[in-house]
Amino acid sequence: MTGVVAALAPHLSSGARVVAGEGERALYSRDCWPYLGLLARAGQPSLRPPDAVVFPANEEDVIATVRWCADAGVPLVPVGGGSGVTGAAVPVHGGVAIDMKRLDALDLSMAESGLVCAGGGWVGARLEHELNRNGLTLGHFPSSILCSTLGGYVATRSAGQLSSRHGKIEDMVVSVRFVDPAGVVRRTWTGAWDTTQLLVGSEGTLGVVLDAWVRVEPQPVARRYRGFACSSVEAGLEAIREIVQSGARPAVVRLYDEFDTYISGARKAAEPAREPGRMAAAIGRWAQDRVDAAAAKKHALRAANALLGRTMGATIALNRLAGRVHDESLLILGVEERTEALADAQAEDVFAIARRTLRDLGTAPGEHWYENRYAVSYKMSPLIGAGLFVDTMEVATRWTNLVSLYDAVKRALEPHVFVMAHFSHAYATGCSIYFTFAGFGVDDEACIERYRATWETAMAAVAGAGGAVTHHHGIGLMKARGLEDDHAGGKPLFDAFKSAVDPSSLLNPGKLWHTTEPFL
Amino acid sequence: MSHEVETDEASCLVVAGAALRWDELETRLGSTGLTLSYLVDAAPNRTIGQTLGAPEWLPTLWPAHTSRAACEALEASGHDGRRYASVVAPRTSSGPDIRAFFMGSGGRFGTVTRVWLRAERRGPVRWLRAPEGVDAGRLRGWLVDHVSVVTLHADALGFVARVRLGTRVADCALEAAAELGLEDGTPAERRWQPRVVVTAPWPERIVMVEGRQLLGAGPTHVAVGFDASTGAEVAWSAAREFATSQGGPVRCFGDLGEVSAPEPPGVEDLGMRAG
Repeated sequence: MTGVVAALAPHLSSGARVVAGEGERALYSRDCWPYLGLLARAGQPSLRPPDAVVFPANEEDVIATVRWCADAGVPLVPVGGGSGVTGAAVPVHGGVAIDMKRLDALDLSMAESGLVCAGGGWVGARLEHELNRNGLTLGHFPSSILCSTLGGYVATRSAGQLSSRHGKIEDMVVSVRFVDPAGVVRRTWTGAWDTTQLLVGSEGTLGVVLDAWVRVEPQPVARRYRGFACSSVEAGLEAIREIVQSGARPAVVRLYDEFDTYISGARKAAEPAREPGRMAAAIGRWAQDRVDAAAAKKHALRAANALLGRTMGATIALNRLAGRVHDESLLILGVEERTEALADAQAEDVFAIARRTLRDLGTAPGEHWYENRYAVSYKMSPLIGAGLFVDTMEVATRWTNLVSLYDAVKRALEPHVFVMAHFSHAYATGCSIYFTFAGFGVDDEACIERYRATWETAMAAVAGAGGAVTHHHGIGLMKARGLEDDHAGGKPLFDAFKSAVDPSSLLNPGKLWHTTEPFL
Repeated sequence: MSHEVETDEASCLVVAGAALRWDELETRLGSTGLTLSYLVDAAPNRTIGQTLGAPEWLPTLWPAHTSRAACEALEASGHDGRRYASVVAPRTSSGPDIRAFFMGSGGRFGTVTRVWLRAERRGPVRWLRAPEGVDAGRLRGWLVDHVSVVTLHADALGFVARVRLGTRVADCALEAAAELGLEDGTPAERRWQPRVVVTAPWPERIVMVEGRQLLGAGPTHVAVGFDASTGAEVAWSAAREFATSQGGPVRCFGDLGEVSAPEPPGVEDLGMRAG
């Protein structure tokens, strides 16, 4: 490992860093995939860490790193914020991890045409802040916006929470400039064949993103958010379908099923959201209250966990009970526009349709969601700390198949985990479903095995119901098996392209269609 | 390739064989509640497969109203007989978009055989014509504000806007259109012809000059065609000269069909060969 540092460093600028310390190598051996958290909790080593980590100061450093790795036959894994949840940026075959966050140039010269060129290292929140200072917005608001990069968005084909208004990353990217595995700088969208959509979603296997021309819009200044109570999930979905098919353009369309409505507790602004972690802790405290503290204090935590385990083990009963704690679903609708007049017009169109069949709850639920929209991502840790596992699965299908897909996945998962869902990212032709599930095992090994079995079951259920296995989280290591479901017959095409572009399999090897250590 | 047509009206989806011409498909949809008349590149004398296989005029920038943007899913056949089929879903993040091997590649990697297209619900529309010399910046701003109900088409006379009626936003779009000086106007028939295309960011002024034809516009780009009927070399030369005079991300390619032309860049750069 120190050999890599000594060999690579002379090729880089004085502002670059190359390190091989145990801490950095451990940090860059993982992303936010929950499976890696379970492994760490169990004291098991993560997948193979990189041999070294490079922090380039400029794009010349990036080019030099790629060329050195190509010459030395050392794998290279581009890393942005490391916030992916599927293991896409995990270096399966070691090598060098290259942290791109210092590539943050910004060209605003074409902003009047609605175009800017931004470096791949921009963290989403910082880029949005800088664009806002110029009266612009990218419109891309993933829940990881505080710790994810533009290059990462391009690489994973990401989507933001307001995508129903602004589109997804593939809708924003005009052209990508990247370093190919031979160390040559290229740009997509130059000739007859637009290769942009082959680089978007390639998860670091085809090129290292330097920068991208992206579409920007005038920053919305007028917002209208409301909540509506739905007598059923089906009623809420029907309203959403009518809204998006009418030509209206809501920024946010978010329907929670019955238990997710109860958990989110977003009906009133003054009422804090009920957090799954707090529920688990409350159950634990209830157990502790019933144990003789003086005599068995040292066993209190184990008792709480045992009670929790028995509760979580009765997953079918718990799921059926959850479906009865709340008899309404919550629909959040939001509109954002450049002017007050446009916002009023959009709101009139959107909310009028909702009011025909749903009960208007006023502005509080919608505004509460907007104020707390980034908080949900940070609520998993207490549950994992309590011995559970938690994960999410985002799928998509057309409207006529949506309820069938939802029912199929819930039915398949109920015997294994506690499951709830919300519907978002609505289209004229269909919608995405975002499942959240939590489970438990008697020990770490059992927990990991149940986690793996859950995903096996979930993926099979989605494929069997004709849904897309991933809407916006990407493939990584976790969902590699689902590639053939979403792109039947696609492997030979990817193989040919990968062989032409990266014959030595330098970039992020062992990923996508070439996964060598599949999770399932 | 088949000429079958099926509809999933609740999902606003039309399933069609790629051998169908656009005018045939729209006729077959006449008895349904769906229409594809909003697509800016659906030239009546071309098939669905020809349009999808040809280079895209405009970048796929949501909510672009081109056939590629409307293609929800497709089935294709490679030159070696292998078949490909994408899942029918509004969107996936399952790696690179494999459909891009077949859309816009000029048939290099295979042929599209069947497509699922996003349709609009049939309803009242109004066509407005943009006068020559209209302020490009204001026209672009109008499109950006109302892009959910407005599509900018183009014919030999210039821009023609299609406004989908029935919402308050559409009413706002019409009010703003009146301020811009847009007037009622029926689009002239769009027919595909060989040309070299330059797609560039919106210019300061929309100017029609001899030998050039506006092909379309999205929120960030306009597409200008250079007539190749008098020779591909002449068209390429004029197009490249125009392209180099623009700023920002510019794309220059030939949509020439049988007309011989130099191998477009991009494929060569990536070392890819068909078959």
